[in-house]
Amino acid sequence: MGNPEDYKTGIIRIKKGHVVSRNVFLYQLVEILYSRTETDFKRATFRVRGDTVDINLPYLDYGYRITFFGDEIEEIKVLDVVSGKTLETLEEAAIFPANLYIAPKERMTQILGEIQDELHNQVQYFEKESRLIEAQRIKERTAFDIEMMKEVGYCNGVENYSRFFDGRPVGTRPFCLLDYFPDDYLMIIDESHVTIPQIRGMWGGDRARKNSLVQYGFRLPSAMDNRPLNFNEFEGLVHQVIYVSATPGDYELEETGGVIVEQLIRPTGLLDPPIVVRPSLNQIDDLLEEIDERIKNNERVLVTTLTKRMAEELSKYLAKVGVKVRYIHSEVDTMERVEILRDLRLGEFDVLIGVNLLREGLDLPEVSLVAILDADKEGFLRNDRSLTQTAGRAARNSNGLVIFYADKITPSMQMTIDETERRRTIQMEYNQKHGITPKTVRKTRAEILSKRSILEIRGGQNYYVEPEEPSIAADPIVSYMTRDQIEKAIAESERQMKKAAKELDFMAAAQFRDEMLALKDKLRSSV
Amino acid sequence: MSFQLESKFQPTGDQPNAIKRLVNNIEENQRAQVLLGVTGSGKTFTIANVIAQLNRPTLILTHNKTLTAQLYGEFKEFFPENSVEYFVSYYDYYQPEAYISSSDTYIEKDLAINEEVDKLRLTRHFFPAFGA
Repeated sequence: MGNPEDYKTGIIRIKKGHVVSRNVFLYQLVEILYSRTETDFKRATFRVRGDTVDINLPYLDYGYRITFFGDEIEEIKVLDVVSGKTLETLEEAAIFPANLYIAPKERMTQILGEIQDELHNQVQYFEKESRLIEAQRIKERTAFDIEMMKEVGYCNGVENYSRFFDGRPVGTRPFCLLDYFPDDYLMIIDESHVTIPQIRGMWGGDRARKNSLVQYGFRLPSAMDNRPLNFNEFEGLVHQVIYVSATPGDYELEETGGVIVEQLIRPTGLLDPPIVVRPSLNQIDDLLEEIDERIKNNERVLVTTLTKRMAEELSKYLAKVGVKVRYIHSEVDTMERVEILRDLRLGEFDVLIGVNLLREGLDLPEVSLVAILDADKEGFLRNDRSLTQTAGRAARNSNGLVIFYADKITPSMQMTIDETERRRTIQMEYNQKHGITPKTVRKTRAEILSKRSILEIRGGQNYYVEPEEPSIAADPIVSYMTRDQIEKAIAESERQMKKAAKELDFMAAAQFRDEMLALKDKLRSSV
Repeated sequence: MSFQLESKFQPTGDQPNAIKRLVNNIEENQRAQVLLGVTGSGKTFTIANVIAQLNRPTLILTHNKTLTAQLYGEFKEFFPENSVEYFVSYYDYYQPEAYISSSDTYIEKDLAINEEVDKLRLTRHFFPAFGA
């Protein structure tokens, strides 16, 4: 984002009766990055017909029609840009820059000079290293950008030159959304246990990517200064904050020094579902019985397994014995996910199996049973936060039940069970005192079908995805592997880790690293 | 600028107490606090009440666009008379520029800007500090 000062000074304020010549006004529009058009009246353009100027505002559904009489603004009207009809008449209006990156005209020459200087140094550097391809590449690319900026005021990837536009010293952070807020603003961080790690990871990922672009002559070193905030900078911009989460992370707990406001009562009176622990012996038969019972009541079941392979096997087996089952995994794209979840709600099938059912935002009132297999295998998806979150998927149904299939009780399980008991006690006391009977809020078929629209603005690839598979070291199969097989698995993890790192997929690389280390541990303990 | 919360519901359960404590903590200059709310306890409604009482410009951060869209819709309903705006990445499908040296692949920035998102992002109401 650009400098808030420049953005503010870029606002054109007009008033009926104001004296300003039409041409000066048009010039101002161009300065804040609107372009003139005769034919295609699209967003961020304006067209001129005699004394009338129509502006299509990129940030609103309508535009303005401004009529001049000589050097005076005679009339300001709201314009429906599609039909070309005018709506209401305004006394005054403000026109905001068409692009958040606005370069003050008088500084442009200086900015381009600075870019030119850096380019010169970088070309020299590459030539000294005898890297002529890189020298040539950076020269061509930058010259093209400079030409564009000279002609139209911006270029593709203009944000990479933000340090010059903002007049910042080397190494300092760019302006960002937080700079646009007044000093006493309030920040709310939703789902902080996921959002905070995501903010923390932004800087590192960006840096690795930029490094490679700079090293190979695609960008000037100054592009490194167009970057996300690092975590310290982010913290420095926080004034007062409320972290919102059902399972706050260690950072939040430490940061707040124990100032935790609890909200454990649901307006529906629903309790946290009780948790029972059952042995893994005959777990599938037991699970089948439980599934049958839910199907009879027109309720749904979620099952989480430790690995993708187990999810596949289980769904095959359940399908074979006549259960309507589906299985969801990381390769299922967003649209298909939405459909799977909708079909589950509608009862097109009854059981959904997956490794990580947390990130789906699966708060479905129809789900009355959550079964967690291998609940006692400590790891990413079996720690107390994940267990609590997963168990919570059955909290919208009054018959909600959670089954941990496990042969021992891990500290994480115990913490989850204790916390659930504590919450249930508070919730039951409240219900008793106020004479509330918990009720499931059921949705009609039509309501479920209409739900799709909320997902219309879908996310792309760049949002946080929790690792789908825990390390294969946690896979029970590993216990049966020979030394030789484990060593091979270590080599394979290492190879995949390096490959992922080279492809800049750091999330995957970290996962393979953890897997490799866990396998090495296993190897050591098996000696 | 003053926030006007519109809802046919009144805070219930432990919401009133949570709202009171969150507001008090902010007013007493507590820098950071946690609202530990179970699923279905009406966390969004509680936060809306806190915002209405504190009456300060507020930024709500979350970690994906689906959630952002959901929260945006809810807060717009709570505050129909106020400016509730939405700021997400410019790109619907954002492929940042990258160079992978091992395979000599240069990936250009993917410029599929989602028009709807772009419009929301540049909206004038986003900057209440400007008094627009």
